[in-house]
Amino acid sequence: MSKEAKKEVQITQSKINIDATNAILGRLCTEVAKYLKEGYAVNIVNCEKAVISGKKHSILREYRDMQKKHTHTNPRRGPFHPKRPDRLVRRTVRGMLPWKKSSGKAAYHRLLTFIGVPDELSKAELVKPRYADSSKLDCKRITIGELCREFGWQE
Amino acid sequence: MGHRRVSAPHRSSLGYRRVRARRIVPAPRAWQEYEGAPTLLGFLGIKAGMTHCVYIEDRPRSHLVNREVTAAVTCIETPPMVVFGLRGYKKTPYGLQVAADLRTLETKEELSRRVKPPKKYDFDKSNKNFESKIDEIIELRAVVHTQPYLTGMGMKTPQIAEIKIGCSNITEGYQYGLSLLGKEVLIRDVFKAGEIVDTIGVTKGKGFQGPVKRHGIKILQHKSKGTKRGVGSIGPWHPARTMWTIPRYGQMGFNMRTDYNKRIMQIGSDGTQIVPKGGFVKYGIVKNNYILLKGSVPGSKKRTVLLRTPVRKQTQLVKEPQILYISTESQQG
Repeated sequence: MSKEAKKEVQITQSKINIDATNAILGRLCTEVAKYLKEGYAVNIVNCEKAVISGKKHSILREYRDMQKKHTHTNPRRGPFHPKRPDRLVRRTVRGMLPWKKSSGKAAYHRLLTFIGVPDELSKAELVKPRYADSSKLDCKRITIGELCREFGWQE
Repeated sequence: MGHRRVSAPHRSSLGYRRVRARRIVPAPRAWQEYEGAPTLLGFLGIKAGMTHCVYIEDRPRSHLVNREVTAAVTCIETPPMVVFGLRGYKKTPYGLQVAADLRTLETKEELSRRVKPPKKYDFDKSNKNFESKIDEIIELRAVVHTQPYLTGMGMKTPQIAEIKIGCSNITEGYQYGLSLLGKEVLIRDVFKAGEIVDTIGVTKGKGFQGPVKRHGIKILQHKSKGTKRGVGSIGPWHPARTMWTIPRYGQMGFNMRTDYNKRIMQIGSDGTQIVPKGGFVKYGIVKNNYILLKGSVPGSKKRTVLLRTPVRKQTQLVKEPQILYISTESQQG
Protein backbone atom coordinates (compact mmCIF):
# COMPACT_ATOMS: atom_id res chain seq x y z
CA MET A 1 0.00 0.00 0.00
CA SER A 2 1.20 3.47 -0.82
CA LYS A 3 2.08 5.94 1.91
CA GLU A 4 -0.66 8.17 0.66
CA ALA A 5 -3.30 5.54 1.16
CA LYS A 6 -2.09 4.87 4.66
CA LYS A 7 -2.48 8.52 5.47
CA GLU A 8 -5.95 8.49 4.01
CA VAL A 9 -7.35 6.02 6.52
CA GLN A 10 -5.36 7.63 9.35
CA ILE A 11 -4.06 4.51 10.96
CA THR A 12 -2.99 5.43 14.43
CA GLN A 13 -3.36 2.04 16.04
CA SER A 14 -2.73 -1.50 14.97
CA LYS A 15 -6.49 -2.02 14.87
CA ILE A 16 -8.70 -0.67 12.08
CA ASN A 17 -12.45 -0.44 12.38
CA ILE A 18 -14.10 -0.34 8.98
CA ASP A 19 -17.68 0.62 8.23
CA ALA A 20 -18.95 -1.45 5.31
CA THR A 21 -22.08 0.63 4.71
CA ASN A 22 -22.51 1.19 0.94
CA ALA A 23 -19.08 -0.27 0.26
CA ILE A 24 -18.64 -2.47 -2.80
CA LEU A 25 -17.92 -5.97 -1.50
CA GLY A 26 -14.95 -6.97 -3.69
CA ARG A 27 -13.18 -3.65 -3.39
CA LEU A 28 -13.78 -3.54 0.35
CA CYS A 29 -12.35 -7.00 0.79
CA THR A 30 -9.19 -6.40 -1.27
CA GLU A 31 -8.43 -3.38 0.86
CA VAL A 32 -9.07 -5.30 4.07
CA ALA A 33 -6.90 -8.18 2.84
CA LYS A 34 -4.06 -5.73 2.29
CA TYR A 35 -4.34 -4.32 5.80
CA LEU A 36 -4.43 -7.82 7.24
CA LYS A 37 -1.35 -8.91 5.33
CA GLU A 38 0.51 -5.89 6.67
CA GLY A 39 -0.22 -7.06 10.18
CA TYR A 40 -3.21 -4.97 11.20
CA ALA A 41 -6.22 -6.35 13.01
CA VAL A 42 -9.40 -5.36 11.22
CA ASN A 43 -12.99 -5.16 12.43
CA ILE A 44 -15.70 -4.74 9.80
CA VAL A 45 -19.07 -3.49 11.01
CA ASN A 46 -22.40 -3.16 9.17
CA CYS A 47 -21.55 -6.09 6.91
CA GLU A 48 -25.19 -6.49 5.86
CA LYS A 49 -25.08 -3.01 4.30
CA ALA A 50 -22.23 -3.65 1.90
CA VAL A 51 -23.31 -3.90 -1.75
CA ILE A 52 -22.59 -5.94 -4.85
CA SER A 53 -23.06 -4.15 -8.17
CA GLY A 54 -25.22 -5.77 -10.80
CA LYS A 55 -28.72 -7.03 -11.34
CA LYS A 56 -30.30 -8.87 -8.48
CA HIS A 57 -31.22 -11.98 -10.43
CA SER A 58 -27.79 -12.42 -11.98
CA ILE A 59 -26.01 -12.01 -8.63
CA LEU A 60 -28.42 -14.45 -7.03
CA ARG A 61 -27.82 -16.92 -9.84
CA GLU A 62 -24.07 -16.71 -9.34
CA TYR A 63 -24.35 -17.29 -5.62
CA ARG A 64 -26.89 -20.10 -6.08
CA ASP A 65 -24.49 -21.84 -8.45
CA MET A 66 -21.76 -21.42 -5.87
CA GLN A 67 -23.96 -22.95 -3.15
CA LYS A 68 -24.28 -26.10 -5.23
CA LYS A 69 -20.56 -26.75 -5.10
CA HIS A 70 -19.81 -29.24 -2.38
CA THR A 71 -18.12 -32.59 -1.91
CA HIS A 72 -20.07 -35.03 -4.05
CA THR A 73 -19.49 -38.02 -1.84
CA ASN A 74 -20.20 -36.20 1.43
CA PRO A 75 -21.63 -32.66 1.48
CA ARG A 76 -20.85 -32.36 5.19
CA ARG A 77 -17.17 -32.12 4.30
CA GLY A 78 -17.64 -28.77 2.58
CA PRO A 79 -16.77 -26.44 1.01
CA PHE A 80 -19.21 -24.47 3.11
CA HIS A 81 -20.97 -21.40 1.84
CA PRO A 82 -21.94 -18.93 4.54
CA LYS A 83 -25.46 -17.53 4.51
CA ARG A 84 -25.05 -14.84 7.15
CA PRO A 85 -23.77 -11.38 6.12
CA ASP A 86 -20.84 -11.19 8.53
CA ARG A 87 -19.68 -14.68 7.62
CA LEU A 88 -20.13 -14.08 3.90
CA VAL A 89 -17.88 -10.99 4.05
CA ARG A 90 -15.32 -12.84 6.14
CA ARG A 91 -15.28 -15.72 3.66
CA THR A 92 -14.84 -13.30 0.76
CA VAL A 93 -11.77 -11.81 2.44
CA ARG A 94 -10.43 -15.31 3.01
CA GLY A 95 -10.44 -15.90 -0.71
CA MET A 96 -8.10 -12.95 -1.09
CA LEU A 97 -5.56 -14.12 1.51
CA PRO A 98 -2.81 -16.73 1.07
CA TRP A 99 -4.97 -19.21 2.99
CA LYS A 100 -2.63 -22.16 2.53
CA LYS A 101 0.26 -20.32 4.18
CA SER A 102 0.49 -19.85 7.92
CA SER A 103 0.87 -16.09 7.41
CA GLY A 104 -2.46 -16.02 5.57
CA LYS A 105 -4.18 -18.01 8.28
CA ALA A 106 -2.81 -15.72 10.95
CA ALA A 107 -4.00 -12.72 8.95
CA TYR A 108 -7.46 -14.27 8.64
CA HIS A 109 -7.70 -14.76 12.38
CA ARG A 110 -7.03 -11.05 12.88
CA LEU A 111 -10.25 -10.25 11.03
CA LEU A 112 -13.57 -9.86 12.82
CA THR A 113 -16.84 -9.10 11.06
CA PHE A 114 -20.13 -7.97 12.55
CA ILE A 115 -23.76 -7.50 11.64
CA GLY A 116 -24.63 -3.91 12.59
CA VAL A 117 -22.39 -2.18 15.11
CA PRO A 118 -21.70 -4.23 18.26
CA ASP A 119 -21.78 -2.56 21.67
CA GLU A 120 -18.02 -2.79 22.14
CA LEU A 121 -17.39 -0.84 18.92
CA SER A 122 -20.17 1.72 19.37
CA LYS A 123 -17.69 4.41 20.43
CA ALA A 124 -14.85 3.40 18.12
CA GLU A 125 -13.84 5.59 15.22
CA LEU A 126 -15.11 4.02 12.01
CA VAL A 127 -13.21 4.34 8.77
CA LYS A 128 -14.72 4.16 5.30
CA PRO A 129 -12.77 2.05 2.82
CA ARG A 130 -11.05 4.29 0.33
CA TYR A 131 -11.81 2.75 -3.07
CA ALA A 132 -15.06 0.98 -2.32
CA ASP A 133 -17.63 3.78 -2.34
CA SER A 134 -20.75 2.68 -4.21
CA SER A 135 -22.40 6.10 -4.42
CA LYS A 136 -20.92 6.73 -7.87
CA LEU A 137 -22.13 3.42 -9.28
CA ASP A 138 -24.27 3.84 -12.38
CA CYS A 139 -25.73 0.34 -12.30
CA LYS A 140 -28.15 -1.56 -10.12
CA ARG A 141 -26.93 -3.06 -6.89
CA ILE A 142 -27.94 -5.46 -4.15
CA THR A 143 -26.98 -5.36 -0.48
CA ILE A 144 -25.43 -8.34 1.26
CA GLY A 145 -28.42 -8.34 3.60
CA GLU A 146 -30.85 -8.78 0.69
CA LEU A 147 -28.67 -11.51 -0.77
CA CYS A 148 -28.48 -13.41 2.50
CA ARG A 149 -32.21 -13.08 3.11
CA GLU A 150 -32.75 -14.95 -0.17
CA PHE A 151 -30.71 -17.82 1.25
CA GLY A 152 -32.71 -17.98 4.45
CA TRP A 153 -30.93 -15.56 6.76
CA GLN A 154 -33.28 -14.17 9.40
CA GLU A 155 -32.40 -11.04 11.30
CA MET B 1 -30.66 -62.78 -6.00
CA GLY B 2 -30.80 -61.27 -9.36
CA HIS B 3 -34.33 -60.11 -8.62
CA ARG B 4 -33.41 -56.67 -7.35
CA ARG B 5 -35.53 -53.88 -8.73
CA VAL B 6 -33.83 -51.14 -10.70
CA SER B 7 -34.71 -48.58 -8.05
CA ALA B 8 -35.95 -48.88 -4.51
CA PRO B 9 -36.75 -46.48 -1.69
CA HIS B 10 -33.74 -45.59 0.43
CA ARG B 11 -33.30 -47.74 3.50
CA SER B 12 -33.53 -45.49 6.58
CA SER B 13 -33.85 -41.73 6.65
CA LEU B 14 -30.95 -39.51 5.61
CA GLY B 15 -32.49 -36.65 7.57
CA TYR B 16 -30.81 -37.49 10.84
CA ARG B 17 -27.20 -37.47 11.87
CA ARG B 18 -26.59 -40.73 13.64
CA VAL B 19 -24.32 -39.38 16.34
CA ARG B 20 -24.47 -39.62 20.09
CA ALA B 21 -26.32 -36.88 21.97
CA ARG B 22 -24.04 -34.36 23.65
CA ARG B 23 -25.90 -34.51 26.94
CA ILE B 24 -28.46 -36.74 28.51
CA VAL B 25 -30.94 -34.01 29.46
CA PRO B 26 -31.96 -32.46 26.17
CA ALA B 27 -32.17 -28.74 25.47
CA PRO B 28 -35.13 -28.23 23.13
CA ARG B 29 -34.56 -26.31 19.94
CA ALA B 30 -37.91 -24.55 20.18
CA TRP B 31 -40.50 -23.53 22.73
CA GLN B 32 -44.17 -22.81 22.28
CA GLU B 33 -45.13 -19.22 21.49
CA TYR B 34 -47.33 -18.54 24.44
CA GLU B 35 -49.69 -15.70 25.32
CA GLY B 36 -51.49 -15.53 28.63
CA ALA B 37 -50.92 -15.84 32.33
CA PRO B 38 -47.29 -16.70 33.22
CA THR B 39 -46.52 -20.38 33.49
CA LEU B 40 -43.68 -22.83 32.94
CA LEU B 41 -43.78 -24.44 29.50
CA GLY B 42 -42.21 -27.74 30.41
CA PHE B 43 -41.52 -30.31 33.08
CA LEU B 44 -38.80 -32.88 33.71
CA GLY B 45 -39.84 -36.43 34.49
CA ILE B 46 -38.22 -39.82 34.81
CA LYS B 47 -39.34 -42.67 32.60
CA ALA B 48 -40.57 -45.56 34.74
CA GLY B 49 -42.02 -48.07 32.29
CA MET B 50 -45.03 -48.99 30.21
CA THR B 51 -48.36 -50.65 30.82
CA HIS B 52 -51.74 -50.57 29.13
CA CYS B 53 -55.13 -49.14 29.89
CA VAL B 54 -58.72 -49.27 28.65
CA TYR B 55 -60.42 -45.94 28.15
CA ILE B 56 -63.43 -44.47 26.38
CA GLU B 57 -62.43 -42.91 23.07
CA ASP B 58 -63.42 -39.25 23.11
CA ARG B 59 -61.88 -37.95 19.91
CA PRO B 60 -64.99 -36.87 17.99
CA ARG B 61 -63.63 -37.89 14.59
CA SER B 62 -62.51 -41.35 15.59
CA HIS B 63 -64.57 -44.24 14.22
CA LEU B 64 -64.35 -45.75 17.69
CA VAL B 65 -65.80 -42.71 19.43
CA ASN B 66 -67.62 -43.46 22.71
CA ARG B 67 -66.37 -47.05 22.66
CA GLU B 68 -63.86 -48.77 24.87
CA VAL B 69 -60.33 -48.76 23.47
CA THR B 70 -57.12 -50.32 24.74
CA ALA B 71 -53.96 -48.27 24.52
CA ALA B 72 -50.36 -48.65 25.59
CA VAL B 73 -49.33 -45.96 28.07
CA THR B 74 -45.96 -44.83 29.39
CA CYS B 75 -45.62 -44.02 33.06
CA ILE B 76 -43.34 -41.07 33.82
CA GLU B 77 -42.59 -40.37 37.45
CA THR B 78 -42.63 -36.65 38.14
CA PRO B 79 -41.32 -35.75 41.58
CA PRO B 80 -41.57 -31.99 42.27
CA MET B 81 -39.06 -29.92 40.31
CA VAL B 82 -37.15 -27.12 42.09
CA VAL B 83 -36.55 -23.71 40.52
CA PHE B 84 -33.15 -22.39 41.57
CA GLY B 85 -32.40 -19.74 38.99
CA LEU B 86 -33.71 -17.42 36.33
CA ARG B 87 -32.21 -16.45 33.02
CA GLY B 88 -33.13 -13.61 30.68
CA TYR B 89 -32.20 -13.85 27.02
CA LYS B 90 -31.79 -10.89 24.68
CA LYS B 91 -32.01 -10.93 20.92
CA THR B 92 -28.78 -10.35 19.01
CA PRO B 93 -27.99 -10.74 15.31
CA TYR B 94 -26.33 -14.01 16.24
CA GLY B 95 -29.28 -15.56 18.12
CA LEU B 96 -30.38 -15.43 21.72
CA GLN B 97 -27.76 -14.52 24.30
CA VAL B 98 -27.94 -14.41 28.07
CA ALA B 99 -28.55 -10.82 29.20
CA ALA B 100 -28.90 -11.43 32.92
CA ASP B 101 -29.16 -14.30 35.32
CA LEU B 102 -30.10 -14.84 38.88
CA ARG B 103 -29.89 -17.74 41.30
CA THR B 104 -31.00 -18.39 44.80
CA LEU B 105 -28.66 -19.75 47.44
CA GLU B 106 -31.49 -21.29 49.44
CA THR B 107 -31.42 -24.55 47.53
CA LYS B 108 -31.62 -28.20 48.34
CA GLU B 109 -28.42 -29.75 49.65
CA GLU B 110 -28.41 -32.38 46.93
CA LEU B 111 -28.00 -29.73 44.23
CA SER B 112 -24.36 -29.27 45.27
CA ARG B 113 -23.73 -32.71 43.78
CA ARG B 114 -24.39 -31.21 40.36
CA VAL B 115 -23.40 -27.52 40.67
CA LYS B 116 -21.28 -25.99 43.40
CA PRO B 117 -22.90 -22.94 45.02
CA PRO B 118 -20.96 -19.70 44.47
CA LYS B 119 -18.89 -18.59 47.47
CA LYS B 120 -19.63 -14.93 47.06
CA TYR B 121 -23.01 -14.05 45.71
CA ASP B 122 -25.07 -10.91 46.22
CA PHE B 123 -28.67 -11.72 45.40
CA ASP B 124 -29.95 -8.12 45.65
CA LYS B 125 -27.26 -6.86 43.33
CA SER B 126 -28.03 -9.50 40.72
CA ASN B 127 -31.73 -8.84 41.13
CA LYS B 128 -31.20 -5.11 40.50
CA ASN B 129 -29.05 -5.90 37.49
CA PHE B 130 -31.77 -8.20 36.15
CA GLU B 131 -34.44 -5.55 36.60
CA SER B 132 -32.34 -2.92 34.85
CA LYS B 133 -32.02 -5.15 31.80
CA ILE B 134 -35.62 -6.24 31.64
CA ASP B 135 -36.35 -4.03 28.62
CA GLU B 136 -33.90 -5.85 26.35
CA ILE B 137 -34.95 -9.31 27.51
CA ILE B 138 -37.28 -11.16 25.14
CA GLU B 139 -37.25 -14.62 26.65
CA LEU B 140 -37.23 -15.77 30.25
CA ARG B 141 -36.21 -19.22 31.36
CA ALA B 142 -36.30 -20.85 34.75
CA VAL B 143 -33.30 -22.94 35.75
CA VAL B 144 -34.67 -26.05 37.41
CA HIS B 145 -33.39 -29.28 38.89
CA THR B 146 -35.06 -32.62 39.36
CA GLN B 147 -35.21 -34.56 42.62
CA PRO B 148 -34.39 -38.14 41.64
CA TYR B 149 -33.50 -38.97 45.28
CA LEU B 150 -37.23 -38.89 46.05
CA THR B 151 -37.80 -41.83 43.73
CA GLY B 152 -36.83 -45.40 44.40
CA MET B 153 -34.52 -45.77 41.44
CA GLY B 154 -31.28 -44.96 43.24
CA MET B 155 -30.04 -41.82 41.51
CA LYS B 156 -28.92 -39.07 43.86
CA THR B 157 -27.52 -36.33 41.63
CA PRO B 158 -30.19 -33.98 40.27
CA GLN B 159 -30.42 -33.18 36.58
CA ILE B 160 -30.61 -29.50 35.67
CA ALA B 161 -32.32 -27.84 32.72
CA GLU B 162 -33.68 -24.53 31.52
CA ILE B 163 -37.41 -24.26 30.99
CA LYS B 164 -39.05 -21.31 29.32
CA ILE B 165 -41.47 -19.16 31.28
CA GLY B 166 -44.42 -18.49 29.00
CA CYS B 167 -45.82 -14.99 29.48
CA SER B 168 -47.25 -12.15 27.42
CA ASN B 169 -45.35 -9.54 29.43
CA ILE B 170 -41.72 -9.98 30.52
CA THR B 171 -42.19 -8.00 33.76
CA GLU B 172 -45.11 -10.24 34.73
CA GLY B 173 -43.09 -13.30 33.83
CA TYR B 174 -40.18 -12.06 35.93
CA GLN B 175 -42.39 -11.53 38.97
CA TYR B 176 -43.78 -15.03 38.46
CA GLY B 177 -40.25 -16.41 38.17
CA LEU B 178 -39.20 -14.64 41.39
CA SER B 179 -42.20 -16.13 43.20
CA LEU B 180 -41.07 -19.63 42.11
CA LEU B 181 -37.43 -19.15 43.05
CA GLY B 182 -36.28 -21.76 45.55
CA LYS B 183 -39.68 -23.46 45.54
CA GLU B 184 -41.04 -26.73 44.30
CA VAL B 185 -43.18 -26.94 41.19
CA LEU B 186 -45.68 -29.76 40.83
CA ILE B 187 -46.68 -31.44 37.59
CA ARG B 188 -50.27 -30.27 38.18
CA ASP B 189 -49.11 -26.63 38.10
CA VAL B 190 -47.86 -27.10 34.53
CA PHE B 191 -50.03 -29.69 32.78
CA LYS B 192 -53.57 -31.01 33.02
CA ALA B 193 -54.84 -34.46 32.15
CA GLY B 194 -56.18 -34.60 28.59
CA GLU B 195 -53.66 -32.07 27.26
CA ILE B 196 -51.10 -32.80 24.60
CA VAL B 197 -47.35 -32.59 25.15
CA ASP B 198 -44.14 -33.12 23.21
CA THR B 199 -41.60 -35.48 24.72
CA ILE B 200 -37.92 -34.87 24.22
CA GLY B 201 -35.36 -37.38 25.27
CA VAL B 202 -32.25 -39.32 24.40
CA THR B 203 -33.07 -42.67 22.81
CA LYS B 204 -31.71 -46.01 23.99
CA GLY B 205 -28.09 -46.46 22.99
CA LYS B 206 -27.40 -49.53 20.85
CA GLY B 207 -23.65 -49.05 20.43
CA PHE B 208 -21.76 -49.84 17.24
CA GLN B 209 -24.10 -51.70 14.91
CA GLY B 210 -24.01 -53.14 11.42
CA PRO B 211 -26.10 -51.84 8.53
CA VAL B 212 -28.84 -54.48 8.87
CA LYS B 213 -29.84 -53.34 12.34
CA ARG B 214 -28.82 -49.71 11.92
CA HIS B 215 -30.45 -48.99 8.58
CA GLY B 216 -32.74 -51.96 7.96
CA ILE B 217 -31.13 -53.22 4.76
CA LYS B 218 -31.90 -56.74 3.57
CA ILE B 219 -29.83 -59.71 4.65
CA LEU B 220 -28.26 -61.20 1.52
CA GLN B 221 -28.61 -64.85 0.57
CA HIS B 222 -26.55 -67.36 2.55
CA LYS B 223 -24.24 -68.14 -0.39
CA SER B 224 -23.29 -64.47 -0.69
CA LYS B 225 -19.52 -64.07 -0.93
CA GLY B 226 -17.70 -62.26 1.85
CA THR B 227 -20.63 -60.99 3.86
CA LYS B 228 -24.34 -61.47 3.98
CA ARG B 229 -25.12 -58.73 6.50
CA GLY B 230 -23.34 -56.02 4.51
CA VAL B 231 -24.46 -53.79 1.67
CA GLY B 232 -24.62 -55.53 -1.71
CA SER B 233 -22.84 -52.68 -3.43
CA ILE B 234 -21.15 -49.71 -1.86
CA GLY B 235 -21.17 -47.71 -5.06
CA PRO B 236 -19.64 -47.36 -8.49
CA TRP B 237 -15.97 -47.58 -9.60
CA HIS B 238 -15.88 -43.79 -9.96
CA PRO B 239 -16.03 -41.60 -7.91
CA ALA B 240 -13.58 -43.86 -6.10
CA ARG B 241 -14.97 -43.02 -2.68
CA THR B 242 -17.96 -44.25 -0.69
CA MET B 243 -20.98 -41.99 -0.97
CA TRP B 244 -22.44 -40.52 2.19
CA THR B 245 -25.79 -42.10 1.33
CA ILE B 246 -24.54 -45.69 1.58
CA PRO B 247 -25.93 -47.44 4.69
CA ARG B 248 -22.84 -48.41 6.68
CA TYR B 249 -22.03 -49.58 10.20
CA GLY B 250 -21.57 -47.15 13.10
CA GLN B 251 -23.17 -45.71 16.22
CA MET B 252 -26.83 -46.51 16.62
CA GLY B 253 -29.12 -44.92 19.18
CA PHE B 254 -28.39 -42.49 21.99
CA ASN B 255 -29.63 -39.64 19.82
CA MET B 256 -31.73 -36.71 20.97
CA ARG B 257 -35.21 -37.17 19.52
CA THR B 258 -38.48 -35.28 19.88
CA ASP B 259 -41.81 -37.09 19.80
CA TYR B 260 -44.63 -34.71 19.07
CA ASN B 261 -48.18 -34.62 20.41
CA LYS B 262 -48.57 -37.27 23.07
CA ARG B 263 -51.78 -37.12 25.03
CA ILE B 264 -51.73 -37.08 28.82
CA MET B 265 -54.12 -39.83 29.89
CA GLN B 266 -53.82 -39.32 33.60
CA ILE B 267 -51.97 -37.32 36.22
CA GLY B 268 -51.95 -39.09 39.55
CA SER B 269 -50.29 -39.10 42.93
CA ASP B 270 -50.92 -42.67 44.14
CA GLY B 271 -48.44 -44.86 42.32
CA THR B 272 -49.86 -48.10 43.76
CA GLN B 273 -52.79 -47.86 41.35
CA ILE B 274 -50.66 -48.18 38.24
CA VAL B 275 -47.45 -49.95 39.22
CA PRO B 276 -47.43 -53.59 38.04
CA LYS B 277 -47.07 -56.36 40.60
CA GLY B 278 -43.41 -56.54 41.56
CA GLY B 279 -42.81 -53.01 40.24
CA PHE B 280 -41.74 -51.81 36.84
CA VAL B 281 -38.90 -54.02 35.65
CA LYS B 282 -35.53 -52.22 35.99
CA TYR B 283 -37.27 -49.36 37.78
CA GLY B 284 -39.29 -50.43 40.81
CA ILE B 285 -42.24 -48.68 42.36
CA VAL B 286 -43.53 -45.16 41.75
CA LYS B 287 -43.45 -43.13 44.97
CA ASN B 288 -44.33 -39.67 43.70
CA ASN B 289 -46.71 -37.95 41.32
CA TYR B 290 -46.80 -39.64 37.99
CA ILE B 291 -48.12 -38.98 34.52
CA LEU B 292 -49.47 -41.49 32.03
CA LEU B 293 -48.77 -40.66 28.39
CA LYS B 294 -50.48 -42.44 25.54
CA GLY B 295 -47.93 -44.26 23.42
CA SER B 296 -44.20 -44.53 23.79
CA VAL B 297 -41.49 -42.11 24.85
CA PRO B 298 -37.85 -42.08 23.65
CA GLY B 299 -35.21 -43.47 25.94
CA SER B 300 -34.59 -46.18 28.47
CA LYS B 301 -36.15 -46.54 31.89
CA LYS B 302 -34.68 -44.26 34.59
CA ARG B 303 -33.85 -41.69 31.92
CA THR B 304 -34.86 -38.05 32.31
CA VAL B 305 -37.47 -36.95 29.77
CA LEU B 306 -38.54 -33.39 29.06
CA LEU B 307 -42.26 -32.82 28.63
CA ARG B 308 -42.94 -29.63 26.71
CA THR B 309 -46.08 -27.78 25.71
CA PRO B 310 -46.72 -28.66 22.05
CA VAL B 311 -45.01 -26.52 19.42
CA ARG B 312 -47.00 -27.87 16.49
CA LYS B 313 -50.56 -26.94 15.81
CA GLN B 314 -52.98 -29.58 17.04
CA THR B 315 -56.59 -29.90 18.06
CA GLN B 316 -56.92 -29.20 21.74
CA LEU B 317 -58.48 -32.00 23.78
CA VAL B 318 -58.50 -30.66 27.30
CA LYS B 319 -61.08 -33.02 28.73
CA GLU B 320 -59.64 -35.76 30.84
CA PRO B 321 -60.23 -39.17 29.22
CA GLN B 322 -62.31 -41.61 31.20
CA ILE B 323 -60.01 -44.51 32.10
CA LEU B 324 -61.81 -47.74 32.98
CA TYR B 325 -58.88 -50.02 33.70
CA ILE B 326 -55.11 -49.84 34.08
CA SER B 327 -53.19 -53.08 33.89
CA THR B 328 -51.14 -53.90 36.99
CA GLU B 329 -50.33 -57.44 35.94
CA SER B 330 -46.80 -58.55 36.73
CA GLN B 331 -44.25 -57.86 34.02
CA GLN B 332 -41.81 -60.52 35.21
CA GLY B 333 -42.53 -63.46 32.95
